[in-house]
Amino acid sequence: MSALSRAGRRAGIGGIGRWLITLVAWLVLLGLLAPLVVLVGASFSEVDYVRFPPQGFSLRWYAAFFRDPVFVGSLLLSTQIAFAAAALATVLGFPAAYVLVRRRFPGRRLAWSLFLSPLLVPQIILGVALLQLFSVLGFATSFAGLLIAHVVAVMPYVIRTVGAALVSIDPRVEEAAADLGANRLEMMALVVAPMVKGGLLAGALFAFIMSWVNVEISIFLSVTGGYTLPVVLFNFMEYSMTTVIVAAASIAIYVALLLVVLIDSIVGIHTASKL
Amino acid sequence: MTAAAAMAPGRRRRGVLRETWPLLPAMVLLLLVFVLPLLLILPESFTVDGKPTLAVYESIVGDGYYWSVIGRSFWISILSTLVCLVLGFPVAYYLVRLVAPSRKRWVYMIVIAPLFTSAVIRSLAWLVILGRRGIVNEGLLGLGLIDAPLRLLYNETAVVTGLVYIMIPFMVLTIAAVLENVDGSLEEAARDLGAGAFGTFCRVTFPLTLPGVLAGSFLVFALCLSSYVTPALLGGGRNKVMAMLIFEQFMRVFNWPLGAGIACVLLAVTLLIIWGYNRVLSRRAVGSRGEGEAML
Amino acid sequence: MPQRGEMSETIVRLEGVSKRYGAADAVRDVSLVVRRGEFVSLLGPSGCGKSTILRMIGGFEQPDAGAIEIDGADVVDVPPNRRPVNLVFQSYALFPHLSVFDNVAFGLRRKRLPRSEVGERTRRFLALAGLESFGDRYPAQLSGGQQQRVALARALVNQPKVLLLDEPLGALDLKLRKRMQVELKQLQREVGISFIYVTHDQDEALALSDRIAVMNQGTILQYDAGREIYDRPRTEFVANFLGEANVLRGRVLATGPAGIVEIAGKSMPATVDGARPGDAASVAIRPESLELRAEGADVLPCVVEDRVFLGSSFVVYLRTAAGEPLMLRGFDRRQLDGLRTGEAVGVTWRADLAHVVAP
Repeated sequence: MSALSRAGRRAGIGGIGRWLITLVAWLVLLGLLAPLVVLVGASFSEVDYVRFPPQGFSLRWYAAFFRDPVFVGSLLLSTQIAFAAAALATVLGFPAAYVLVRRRFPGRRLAWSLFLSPLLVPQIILGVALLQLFSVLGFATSFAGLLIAHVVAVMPYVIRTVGAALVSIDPRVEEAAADLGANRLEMMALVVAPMVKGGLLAGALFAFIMSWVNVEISIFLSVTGGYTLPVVLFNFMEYSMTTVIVAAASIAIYVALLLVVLIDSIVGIHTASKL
Repeated sequence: MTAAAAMAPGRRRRGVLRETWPLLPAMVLLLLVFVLPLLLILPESFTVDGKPTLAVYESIVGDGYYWSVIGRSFWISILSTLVCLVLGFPVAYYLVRLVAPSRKRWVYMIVIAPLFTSAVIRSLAWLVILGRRGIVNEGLLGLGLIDAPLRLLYNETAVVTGLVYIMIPFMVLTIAAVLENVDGSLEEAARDLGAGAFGTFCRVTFPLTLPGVLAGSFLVFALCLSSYVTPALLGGGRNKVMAMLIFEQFMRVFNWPLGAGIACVLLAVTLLIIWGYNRVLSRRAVGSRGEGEAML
Repeated sequence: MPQRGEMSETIVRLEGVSKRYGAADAVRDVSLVVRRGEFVSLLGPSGCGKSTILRMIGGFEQPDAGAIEIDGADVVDVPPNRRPVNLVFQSYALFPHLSVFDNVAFGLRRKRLPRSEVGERTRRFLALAGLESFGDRYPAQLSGGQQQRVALARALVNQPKVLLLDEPLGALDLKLRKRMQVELKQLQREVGISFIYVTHDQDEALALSDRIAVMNQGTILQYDAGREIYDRPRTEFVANFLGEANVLRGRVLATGPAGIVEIAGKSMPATVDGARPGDAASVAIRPESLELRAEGADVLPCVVEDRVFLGSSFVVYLRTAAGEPLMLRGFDRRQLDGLRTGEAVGVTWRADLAHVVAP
């Protein structure tokens, strides 16, 4: 990799072109960061209309956020759903990924495509489709309905990440486990799972994130008496813009940064490029 | 002779189920909560008041309003994709070829971090920036360049700005993934054979990266076309796109058949784009991604 | 065939085993018997089916036809984890996330042996493999040779009825490989377990094995003690694969241990069985069996093409009048000094050192 970038530096694009690209790239990178910085900055304002640079400095809007049962409830719901969806997606996705990678069976390619296809269908369509189905079944406003929807939406991330980890481990090691007397369960628990630990963790984290940031499915499946945090923010923003919303968004940004650091320290941030 | 002896060939073929049962829970979930609901949308769009009818599609095709919404959706998505490409390619090139290895991680973080926040939050940022009393207007007013705040929100430009901001990471990461696999020595070879820096880029680097450019563009286009949050927040009620119509029909007007009809149109277009995307990726055989991963 | 209940001499028996991958035959109708305590090598070029046989014995592949017995029991339907054999993989397949000790103890723990016994036996086999002080290390911290010993200990600690080894020394450099050969042979004698050893290295097979099965294209061509195969190869392929051989075309004149084959107009001595007078035949002679001789009825005239000094021996490349190449290996250096490139010489051999081989 570094050899490649060195080659690029030597031969790819010379002089002015290189400076130009670097300049544009950093402007774009700055542009990627700036809006988040603006939000976080504005959240410390003292006034309730949104201002950047902030007017004064206070944490009152964070306090307001945590005093408001609607916000706190949505933060709680988002967190619960994200944890549960990530856990379920991992528990279901790991064995599925294992079979998809290791076993040869008719229709395997089709199964691969099917398992990844929730990534391809527009989320808003999945949202309305699930709303319709759950209405018929009578649990359109249940926690379980929202959770199952999230599991389906985020499981592909687990399958893809764990699948990639499985591809890179030597299947002979699994044979060695069987050869030494391990049954299937022991082989999975004692050999395969520890060997793809990184992939499992990354997959679970990606699943958590994708559930945590989801709006377009959640918006159709409100749980009785509560919405997830992004949906609450969306609903507020449609008719009012106050600093407490910016503070709520900032809290989500802190969580995002925490997750970035977490992923980087566990599996390296570049693995998230397959999101 | 012992138990050995003759045996029918294939006697010991293990049942497919015995090999694949761990797949089943996930598969059942997928069929019930993904495939089934999607399949149910189609009949919904063909049924009004319990009777089978083409009325929904007739009204979509016959009404200029829907055409204008579809047209706007496409126009906004194409524009956003092009801007993403122009801004994203230099970042991808910089990330793979130019950045010092020690800084690479930080560039990745900057590109990926926004992905970890929801579209609502990223759109909110642009509401703050472009609002009547947002940074841009305040700044221009402060500099005395304008007398009254400009109307920067609730138009197509605002939607495109928001979409570009949200989609750039996807474009960068897709192009970078392809560029990582382009052997840097090819560029050296081109230089060695007398090509100039610019010529090398145009004749070697860019063509080799083309699959990534195409794949990234397809991906971003599909995501733009079906996005709801950003157009709803930055576009205002008069700049509707398809996703907003779908939402409106399902959640406000409660005309589910019409909503389902528009959803089917959007789904069909998306599947067509994905088909093109897969063809691009598989025909160009961009390496390094595992089986099935070419899907996305 | 042994009687029921009696301790059989046979530990592994394959009968008519075949395996196809798609349209290709990987193994064709192979039968093989391995005796208790025996060291058997499956020798052949890559793709000859030797690894497939090993994997079928281990339970990782299912034969399409035929029977596999281990210690008298049909194991075809027994999964690998319940077969009384262990496999040493070419890549070692050590568990990267487990320490050396835990790697070796893995099999014993699967048998739910008491803790103390697991510890005692693991330590004993670590010692046997010369790894006493490496128990806490991880595979990635070991050299290739050490990893290989861990793989051996991990398999042997389970005291399998047969140890299967799939080119276990293939990843080591030549010097280490030679040393490990010696260790392996000693180890096998010590534990007294039958070894089935897959290799494409003829020297390794000769150095280690009690018997060698030479394989090509999915079948066993010859199965015998190494020396027997070397002295009496049955096919041209075997003659060339196990050691070097000159193969000359001719016509059988007389059969038997003192037979005669006409080669390039000369009546040359050879051991002829399985062919009748008048048959076309190929005769295999080892390079060291060729003798230089000036003149005679059983002397083949040749021209010296090249001479190569190899230290302890030398090689002379010759060509017969019929244009066939010959290779002569000699050890008396004075003989080499007397030869000039382009010089006409004659060669001959003893009947018991030349064999008619099947094509």
